Amino acid sequence: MMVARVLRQDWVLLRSSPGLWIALLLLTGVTALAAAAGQARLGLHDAAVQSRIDTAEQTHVAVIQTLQRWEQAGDAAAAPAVASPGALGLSVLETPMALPGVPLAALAAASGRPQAVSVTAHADYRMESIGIIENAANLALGGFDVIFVIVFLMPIVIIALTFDLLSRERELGTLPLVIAQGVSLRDFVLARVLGRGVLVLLGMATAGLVAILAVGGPAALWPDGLVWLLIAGLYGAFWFALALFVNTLRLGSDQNGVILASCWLVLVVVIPALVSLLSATLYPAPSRVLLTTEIREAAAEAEERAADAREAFLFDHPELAGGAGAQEAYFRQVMETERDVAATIAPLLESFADQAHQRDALVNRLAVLSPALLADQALLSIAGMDEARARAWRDAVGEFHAAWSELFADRIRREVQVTSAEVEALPVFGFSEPVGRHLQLGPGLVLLIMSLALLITAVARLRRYPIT
Amino acid sequence: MLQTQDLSKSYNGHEALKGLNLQVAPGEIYCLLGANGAGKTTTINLFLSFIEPSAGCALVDGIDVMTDPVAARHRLAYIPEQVMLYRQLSGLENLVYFNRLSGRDMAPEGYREVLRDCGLQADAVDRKLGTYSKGMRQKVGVAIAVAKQARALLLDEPTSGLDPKASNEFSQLLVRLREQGAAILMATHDLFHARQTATRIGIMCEGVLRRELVAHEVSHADLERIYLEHMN
Repeated sequence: MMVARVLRQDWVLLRSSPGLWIALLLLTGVTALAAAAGQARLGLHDAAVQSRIDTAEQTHVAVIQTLQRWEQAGDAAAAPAVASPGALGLSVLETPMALPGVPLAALAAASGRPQAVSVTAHADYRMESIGIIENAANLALGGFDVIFVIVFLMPIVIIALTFDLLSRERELGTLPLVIAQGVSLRDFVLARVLGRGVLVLLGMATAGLVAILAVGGPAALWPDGLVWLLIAGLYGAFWFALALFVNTLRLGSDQNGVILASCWLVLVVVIPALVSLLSATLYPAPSRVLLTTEIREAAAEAEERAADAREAFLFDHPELAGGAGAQEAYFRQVMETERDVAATIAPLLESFADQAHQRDALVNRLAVLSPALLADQALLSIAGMDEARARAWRDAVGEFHAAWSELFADRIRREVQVTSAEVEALPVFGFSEPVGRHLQLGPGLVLLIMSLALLITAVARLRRYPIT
Repeated sequence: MLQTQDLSKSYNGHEALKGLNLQVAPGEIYCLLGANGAGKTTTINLFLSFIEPSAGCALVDGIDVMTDPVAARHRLAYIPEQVMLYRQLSGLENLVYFNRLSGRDMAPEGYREVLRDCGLQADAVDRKLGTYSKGMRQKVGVAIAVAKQARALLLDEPTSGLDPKASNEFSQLLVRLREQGAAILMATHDLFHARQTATRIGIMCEGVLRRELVAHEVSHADLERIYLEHMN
C-alpha cells in the first residue's frame, strides 16, 4: 500500500528526469539494433548454407536421373562417371547441413557461432565448414548482439539510474522531510528501486519482445522467449539489488558510483576474463600448428605407403596398369590414405575435444562467481547457440558422416557400381535436440538467490541508516 | 499529545540529552530554548525516530515512536531548519508530492490556497524551486506541514532565514494551528519569537531541561534574563 503510494509519487520525479528517458531510449534502441544486426548476420549465414543445400540437391537429382538413364539403356559398358562409388562419394555428392535454427538464435548471433558443414565420403578431418567471411569490423570490435546488450550494457544503465538512489536524497536533505511524512525508509527505497526496475525491465522487455517476435515470430514466445526475459529480468534484478546494497553503505553518491562501476568491471569483465584464462591455463588447447603439421606428415606417410603398395600390386599385375581399374584403385588409395591420416590424428583431435570439454565444464562450474557469466551462459543456451548443443550436433554429424562414408567406402573396396535406387535411399541427417535447453533452472536460481541475498542484507542495513 | 519519559541520548559517550521529561498537550505551543548543542534538535529527531534513544521513550498520541515509527510520524508534521525540496519541481508540485506521500490529497485549488495562506506569492507557486529564496522554501515547508493536517507539529528553528514580516506571519499561522488544537513543539534560539508565540517555554542546557515557564507569565526582559542565567 505504502510502496504503491511512494511509487506513484516517485513517478512524478522520474517524469521530470530527462536523463532517465535518454538512457532508456538508448538501451531499447541499442537492443533493437542488436537484434536487427543478429538477424542480418544469421540471414547471411543461412543464405550461404541454403545455397549449398540447393546446389547439393540439384546435383543429387541430376545424379539419379543420369543413373536412371543408364540403367534404362541397359548398356553396362557405358557406365557414367557417377556410377563409380569413388567418383560419386569423393567428388560429386555432398550433404550440407547446419545446426537447426532456434527461434531466438539471432539474439545471440555474435556470442555463439552458427555451425554448418558439408559431409562427403572423405574422412571427417576433411569435412568443410560452411560459413560467411567474417566482417573485419566484427572481428576487430567483437560480437554485438542482444546478449551483449543485456550482459554488458544493461547493468551500466541500471547503475546510472540507481547509484544515488538513497545517497542523493540524503545529500540534498530531502530524506528527513520524506520520512517525516509517515513513510518507512524501507518502503521508500524499495518503491524507488521497483519504479526504476519496472521502467528499465519494461523497456528491455518491450524491446526484447519486439526483437523476439521479429526474429522468431509468435512461436518463439513460449517457452524460449519468456524464459529469456525471465533470465534477463533476474540479471537486472541482481544489479538493482547490488545498487541498493551499495546505497546502504552510507557513502556519498560519488563513492557509490565508483564502487558500482568497479563491481561492473570486476563481475562483467575481470572475473569472466580470469575464468577464461584459468580454464585455458588448466586445460590448454593443443596447438593448431601441431595439428596441421601432424595431418601433413600423416598424409605424406600414408600416401607413401599407398604408393609402395600400389607399385607392388602393379609389379605383380602389370596387365592392370592404366586400365579400367586404375580409377577405382585411385579412389581406394585416396580413401585408405585419408583413413590412415584420420587414425593418426585421431588422438590429437580427441585431445582437442577433451580439452575443450574440460574447459567448458570448468567455466560452467566457475560461472557462479559472476552473474554476468551465469546470464551469458543461460541466454546463450536458450538461444540454442551454446557449446553443449553445438557439441551434440557435431556428434550427430560425426555419426551421420561415419554411416555415409562407410556406405561409399564399402562400394569402393568391392568396386561395386552405384545404382539410382541406392542414391535415392542415401541416409538423411537427423538431429535430436538436447533435453532441458529452455529450462535454465540452475542459472536462474543462482541469480535469484544472489539478488535476494543482497536485497535482504540491504533491507536489514536500512534499519540503521542515518536519516539526518 | 507529545510526551517524553526520561528520554536520553548519547553519542559515543557524550550525553546529548539527559532524562528529558516533557509533555505538550493539544492546543499548546511549547518552545525549547537553548544554545547550540543544548539537545533541542536531538529531542525533535528522537520524536521523529530519526535516531534511537539511549534510554527512555518518546510518545506521540500515546504511540511509542520506536515501537511504531510510521504510525507516530503519520500524526506528526515536521519543519526542519533548512527545508530542502526537489529543485526540479515547482513549489506547488513539491507540496502535492509530499502531501500525497503522507497519504492525503486535496483539489488543486486547495493546494494553491494552502500555499497562499503560508505566504507564498501567487506568481512563485508554479516556478521551479531552483529559483526560490530560502524564505520561500521555508514557506513551502510550512505549507507541507499545514496540508498534512497533523495533530502535532515539530519545528526545528523554523523561522531561521525568514525576514521579520515572514517570521511574523509564521507566528500568526502557528497561533491559528494551536487554536485548531494542534500540539506544537518548536526548537528555537529566537527569544522574542518564543515569547510571542509559545504557551510554555522550556530552557535547555547541555541536554538537560533546566527551567519551564508559562509564556504569558514572563516579560520579554525576564525571559532574556532567565535564559542568560542558565546559559552562564
